[in-house]
Amino acid sequence: MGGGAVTRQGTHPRHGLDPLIHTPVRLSIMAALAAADRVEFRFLRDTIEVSDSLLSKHMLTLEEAGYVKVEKVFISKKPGTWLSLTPEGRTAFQEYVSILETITKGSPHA
Amino acid sequence: MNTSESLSAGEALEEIERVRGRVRRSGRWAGWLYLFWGISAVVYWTAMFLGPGPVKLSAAVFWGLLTIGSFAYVYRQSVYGCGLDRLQSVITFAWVGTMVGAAFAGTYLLPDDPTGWWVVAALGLAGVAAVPVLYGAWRMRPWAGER
Repeated sequence: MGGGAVTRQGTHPRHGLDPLIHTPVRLSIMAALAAADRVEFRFLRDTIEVSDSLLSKHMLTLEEAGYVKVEKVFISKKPGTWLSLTPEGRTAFQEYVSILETITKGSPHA
Repeated sequence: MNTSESLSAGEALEEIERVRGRVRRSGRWAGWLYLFWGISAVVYWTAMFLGPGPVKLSAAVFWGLLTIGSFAYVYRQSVYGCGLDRLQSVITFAWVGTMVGAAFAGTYLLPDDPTGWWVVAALGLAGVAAVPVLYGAWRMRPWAGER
């Protein structure tokens, strides 16, 4: 798993933000997948308003990190790609959101 | 969307809420479908237990169309909401059980022309047959908005 969520004592909480998630596109992907069991590729593309190629590129990064599971299925010869978070991805995203909330609430570390 | 710039914590939380809301709205279909199936099951079994011949035939045709329509509807969906995968298998199992039970009771227990308490029993049976899908609708609560 390539989370890279480094938390150092005595530093700003932003240092704990997972760099794999903390980019605009991957953040949107993770947020979308965290809100469902499974999401279809085209729906995700339209929801976060990116191109097929850009979404595929970021999905590959998240898949290699072990955060996302990609399933290709054929129903009546029609291909479909379903995306979901792995348990590791779900945990990483929850931690990420929790750090964001700590920062916005202005904790003693913020 | 902005794909290159870094995000502030506030912007990141706003984007999470925006995407979450959109996905959840699109994932509510299952709850509505369960509710529709539940109401339809009560109507269907009431017609089958208490209705005259033509009403029973109409109910059977309606049930067939509902099944085909539901498969087509599910096939078109692109979001499976949180917990649906796990809930679906439990509800399907229970649903098959109550439907088979209702069919068995209608065939072997209820009289051909129910009267009096048999009518109450038939209505109760129709309600029980719908419990699994109505439970599914209640668990998904598609009418509740953002949770």
